[in-house]
Amino acid sequence: MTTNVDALPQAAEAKAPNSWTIALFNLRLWLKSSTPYLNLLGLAGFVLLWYLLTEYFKVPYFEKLPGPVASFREWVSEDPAYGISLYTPDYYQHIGTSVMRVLKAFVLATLLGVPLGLFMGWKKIFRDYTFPLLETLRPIPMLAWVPLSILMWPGREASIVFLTFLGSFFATVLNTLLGVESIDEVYFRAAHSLGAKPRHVFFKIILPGSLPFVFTGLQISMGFAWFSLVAGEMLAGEYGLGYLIWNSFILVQYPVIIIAMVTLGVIGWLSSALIRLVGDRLMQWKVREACR
Amino acid sequence: MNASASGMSPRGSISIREVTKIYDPDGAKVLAVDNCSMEIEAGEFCVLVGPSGCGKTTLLNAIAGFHGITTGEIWLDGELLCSGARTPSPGADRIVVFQNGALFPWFTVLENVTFGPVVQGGMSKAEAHDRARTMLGQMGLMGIENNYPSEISSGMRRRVEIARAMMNDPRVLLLDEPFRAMDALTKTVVHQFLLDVYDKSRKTVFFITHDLEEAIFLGSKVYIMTTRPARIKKVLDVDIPRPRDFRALSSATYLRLKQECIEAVHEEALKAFKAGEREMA
Ligand SMILES: Nc1ncnc2c1ncn2[C@@H]1O[C@H](COP(=O)(O)OP(=O)(O)OP(=O)(O)O)[C@@H](O)[C@H]1O
Ligand SMILES: [Mg+2]
Repeated sequence: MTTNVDALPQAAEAKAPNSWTIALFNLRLWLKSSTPYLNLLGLAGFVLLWYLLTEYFKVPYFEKLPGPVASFREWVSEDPAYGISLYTPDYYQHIGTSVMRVLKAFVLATLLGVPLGLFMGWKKIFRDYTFPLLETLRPIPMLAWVPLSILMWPGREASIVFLTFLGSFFATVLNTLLGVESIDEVYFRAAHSLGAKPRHVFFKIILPGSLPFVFTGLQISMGFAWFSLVAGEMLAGEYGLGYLIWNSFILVQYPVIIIAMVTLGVIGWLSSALIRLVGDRLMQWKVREACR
Repeated sequence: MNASASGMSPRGSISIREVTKIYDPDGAKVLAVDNCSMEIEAGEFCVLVGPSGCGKTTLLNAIAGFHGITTGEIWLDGELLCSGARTPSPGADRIVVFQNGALFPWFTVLENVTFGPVVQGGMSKAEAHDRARTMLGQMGLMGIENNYPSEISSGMRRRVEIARAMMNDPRVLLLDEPFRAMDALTKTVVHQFLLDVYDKSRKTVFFITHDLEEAIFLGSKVYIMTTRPARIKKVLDVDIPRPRDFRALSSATYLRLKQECIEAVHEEALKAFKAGEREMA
């Protein structure tokens, strides 16, 4: 066949790389670029500015705030003045409590939200029933749910998880729905033409086709989960990073506020990096497309 | 490319009888196809050319089963596919290759090619994979089965898509301007590929294009359509012997047919232009 001549060199060039090779390659590329160093410089610059404002020049309005040096000293102290540092079990108890709450809420929101969103995108009738409801409930701020949540659930634990869940849930449903709608009509036609039955359309077109949006949605929903969690914990908590921040404020233990805030930031960032990682594993086609 | 070699009775004759299609009958009433009739023999390589927006895709979609027609009938091998009263449904006996390609980007080449047999349930996954590998090999597409569509060239993608269609041993291959966005070099490769596939399988091919040279080079019959609403203006019998290759492009027959074709199309293009319609490519 005449086409052989053309097929061979291209076939050799397009050898499928495995995902580790790609990750390593990307990492090396990243380290060679200026990006990581500029990232670090930006962070360092911010800390320096904060230090100058609060601790060095003691600029009005800023002088009352805890500075980076004081907070860091407290954080690494074996005998912290306010009882929270890397060496105190309390610190980890707060972290653990918050992480568990977010995890419960996030998993629940994903397990309910993704199928719901897929279904809404798949069946127009179902969407017609549910979409207005979703659009009315979604803009209600989490704080507005607090009273109902407390009335409804027996303990404070359940109501905090519920609040966290709500924040996460709506973002997941909406993004999943958008994901289904983003799938080009031509893939549905192709699938039907190839003899696909409804369940194939669902599992082989709708599900994989919406995954990129679903994972963007999960990252957003993780952000909302932390946001709602802290709100919930500030109102009614006994443990947790949100509670720690509010309590330290009341007890005038200002460096602890900074410790808890930075901890929240780092954990939040790690959790969305984790989601991205899982997403990349499930969507090799997207990863490989990007490194073309 | 295999099953039909042993197939006895020719399959894939299409009879289009007085088909009319009106879009949006209660509102704007766009008459896309008007009383159009065609008889396509089993194993014919039928090419449709016509001005942009004249209703070619509309006709193809009706054969594919993506939408119904307003009046008239379309028959496939003596079975009624659709009529004014009968809404069609798509099926693996009439596979479409789309203009911009419709390989599933989330599946590898192998998963794409085996999609049809696997969802139809006639074959186990292993069996389908074996057959797909064999076929990709015969078609000169080996070594890419674990790549995703985004990783291979556009010409390669289009060939894989044709392979995916052929895996189902369809009665008709429906191609809607499949090579439109390709550069001239890639086109020569995919043309030769499609001709090889056709020569080996002798499937009925229903091929839409704007490109007159492509039409004559590939087709057994070229149907030139009028501006919207679509009707058949002229049918050219392309008596260039097969198997064809690029040398056919300089034959006297080819040049004569091309001249004939250009004249007919030019007339329609002028009409379309005067009617304020969009120009044809
Ligand atoms: N869903 C629709 N609703 C209303 N009008 C439509 C619809 N689809 C197509 N049309 C109109 O019907 C006419 C024929 O469209 P069709 O897509 O069949 O043309 P075509 O010959 O394939 O054109 P092209 O060469 O540009 O692909 C066009 O004027 C188009 O605007
Ligand atoms: Mg068209």
